[in-house]
Amino acid sequence: MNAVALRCSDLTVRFGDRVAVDAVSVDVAPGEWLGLIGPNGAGKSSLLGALAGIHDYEGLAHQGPGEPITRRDVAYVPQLPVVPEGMTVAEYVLLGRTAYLGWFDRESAADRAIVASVLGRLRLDGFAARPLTELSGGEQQRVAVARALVHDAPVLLLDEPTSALDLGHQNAVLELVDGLRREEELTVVAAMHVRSTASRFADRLALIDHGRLVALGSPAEVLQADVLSEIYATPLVVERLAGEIVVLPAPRRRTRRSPIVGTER
Amino acid sequence: MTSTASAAAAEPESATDLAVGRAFRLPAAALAVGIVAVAAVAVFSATQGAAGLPVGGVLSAIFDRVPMLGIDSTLSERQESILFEIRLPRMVLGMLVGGSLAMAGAAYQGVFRNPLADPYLLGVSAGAGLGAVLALGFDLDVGWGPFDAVSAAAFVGALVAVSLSAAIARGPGSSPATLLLAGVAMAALFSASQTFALQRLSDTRAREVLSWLFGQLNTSGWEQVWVLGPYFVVCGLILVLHRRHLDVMRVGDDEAASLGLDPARARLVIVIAASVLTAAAVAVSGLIAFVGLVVPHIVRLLVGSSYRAIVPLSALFGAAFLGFVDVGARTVLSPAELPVGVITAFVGAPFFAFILWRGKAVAA
Repeated sequence: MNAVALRCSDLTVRFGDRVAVDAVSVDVAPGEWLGLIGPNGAGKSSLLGALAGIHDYEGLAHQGPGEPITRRDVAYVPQLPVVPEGMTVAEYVLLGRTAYLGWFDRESAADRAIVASVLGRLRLDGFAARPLTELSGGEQQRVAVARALVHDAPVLLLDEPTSALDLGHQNAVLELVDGLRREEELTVVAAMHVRSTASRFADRLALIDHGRLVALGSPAEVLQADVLSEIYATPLVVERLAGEIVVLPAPRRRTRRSPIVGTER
Repeated sequence: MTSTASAAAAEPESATDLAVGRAFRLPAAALAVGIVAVAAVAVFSATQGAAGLPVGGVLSAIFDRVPMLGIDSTLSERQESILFEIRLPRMVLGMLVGGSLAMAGAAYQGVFRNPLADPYLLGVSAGAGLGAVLALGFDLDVGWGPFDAVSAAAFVGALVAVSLSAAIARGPGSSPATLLLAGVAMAALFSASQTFALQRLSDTRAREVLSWLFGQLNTSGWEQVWVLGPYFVVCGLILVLHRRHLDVMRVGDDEAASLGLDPARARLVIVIAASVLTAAAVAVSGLIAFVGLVVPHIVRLLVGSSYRAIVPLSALFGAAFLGFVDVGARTVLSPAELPVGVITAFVGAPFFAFILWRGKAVAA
C-alpha cells in the first residue's frame, strides 16, 4: 500500500498576499478517488489549479516515482469548460494531445486515432463533426471528459465538474468517470459537493478550509456533523441513507407563529 | 458477427474518423481558391491602368524573364518599363501589405480572443501616425537604409506604441484584457499627440500628412517591396508556425496551460511577430483600414473557425483583396488617385455590415 500516484508536500498557492492553499500535504494512491470538500473559497480549485499547471505553487507536487509532475501526468476537467465558438467536438478533443506535441509539432495520425477511439468509447461517435456550442451542458461536460482521457494521464483532476448540471446529468458524468477509473486504473482527485456526491464516489475525502487541510480520511471519518457545521457555518446533519452517507442542512427550527395571523403573507 | 467485424476493419473511414481526420485541417479547396484569386487579381492588376496592357503581352513579358522557357515578350520597350517599373512593384506591394495586415489581424483576433481585434489594436496606427506627422511636418530626418524619413518614423512610432502597451501590461504575454486596455490607453495618448502636432502644421503639410494617414501604395520602383518583403517572409512564417497555438488558446489561458501549452510564451511570440509585421506594412503604405479586421472574418465564414486555416488563408485573401481594391484606387479617378484606405473602408465596411446583418456568427 505504499504506491503513490500523486504526492503533495507542503503545497502552497499564493495570489499576491493571499494564501489560497496553505501547506497541504497528501498522498494519493494509484486508482484511488480523493474527493476535495470544503466551503466556497476554501482553496479546492486553487489546489487543483496548481496541480493542473494553471497556478504557480511552492512546495512539491510529485508523481509516483518521485519526479515532479509534468503536463503529461495530470489531465484536468474544469468546472465550466470554455466553449469556443465554431470548434467541433473532434477538434476540441484533439486539443487533449497538446502535452505530447513539441512547440512546432502537428498532431500525428496516431494522435487522431486516439481521439477517434476515445470518442467511440464515450459514445460520442455521432458528435465528432458537430460544433460544441450546439451541445447541451451535459454533453459538453462529457466532451470535456473525453478531452481529459485523450490527454492520457494517470491522474485525472476534476473541478466540481457537475456543478452546472442537473441531478441526472451530474450522476451520469460521475458514473462515467468512475467507470473509466476502474477500467483504466485512473487516479481521480475531484473537488466535490459535500451534500450529494462526495461519499458515493470518493474512497477518501480531504476537507479543506481557509486553504488548510483540516481532515483526511474515509467519508465516514471526515463527514462529522459538528466539524462540518462549524466549517460551513450552518447547522448540518449527517445521515445514512441506503448505505450512503448524506449531508443535509439541519431541519429548520419551528419558530412560534406570530399571534397576528392576518399579517402573514 | 465476423463478417461485420471484418467489414468494419476494411472500412476504417467512419463518420467519426472523417471528422477527426478533418479537425484543424486547411481545406485544400479553400487553399486552391485563394491561390487562384491571387493569380487572377495579379493578371487583372497588371493589365489595368492608364496604359492598358494586353494579357498575352504581360504574360509573355513575364515568362520572357524566366530563363530557359524560350518565350519572347510581345510588349514594346515602353510597355515593358511600365509593367516592370510601375505596375508590378505596386501590385506586389499591395499584395504584401494586404497579406501582412490580414495575417496580423487574424493573429490578434486569436491571441486576444476578440473578434474586433485588428492589427492597429495595440496603438500601432496611432504610433505610426505620430511618427509620420513628426517626419513629414517637422522634417525629422530619421531615415536609414531603404527606409525614407516617413517610413522610418512610422515604423519606430508603431513599435514604440506597442512596446509601451506591452510594458504597461507587464509584458506582451500578460492577460489579453490587460494588454488590450493598455493598447487603448496608448492609442489615445498617441492620437492626441498626433492631433496636437497636426494643428501646428501649415495647410499643405497637414494635407500631405492626412493623405499619408489614409493609406496609399505609391511606389517608386521595387524599393518598398524590398523593405516589406523580408518582414512578410519572417514574421509571416512565425505566425504560420504558431497557428496551432492559436487554436489551443481558444479555450482560454487556464485550460491551455492545463493542456500543456505555455499561453504567455505563445502570446509573446505571436504579438511581437504580428506587431512588427504591421509596423513594417504601415511604414510603407500608411494606415489602410479594414483589411486586417474584415479579411480574417471572411475567411472564417468560408472555412470555419480553426486558425490552422485562417492564418495562411488570410495572407492569400488579404493579398487578393488589397491587390484588387488598389486597381480601383489607381483607375477610378484616373489620372488622379484615391487613397486606397478610403476604398478599403468603402468596400469593407458595407460588406462587413452585410455579413453581420445576415446574422452569421462572427467569433474569434
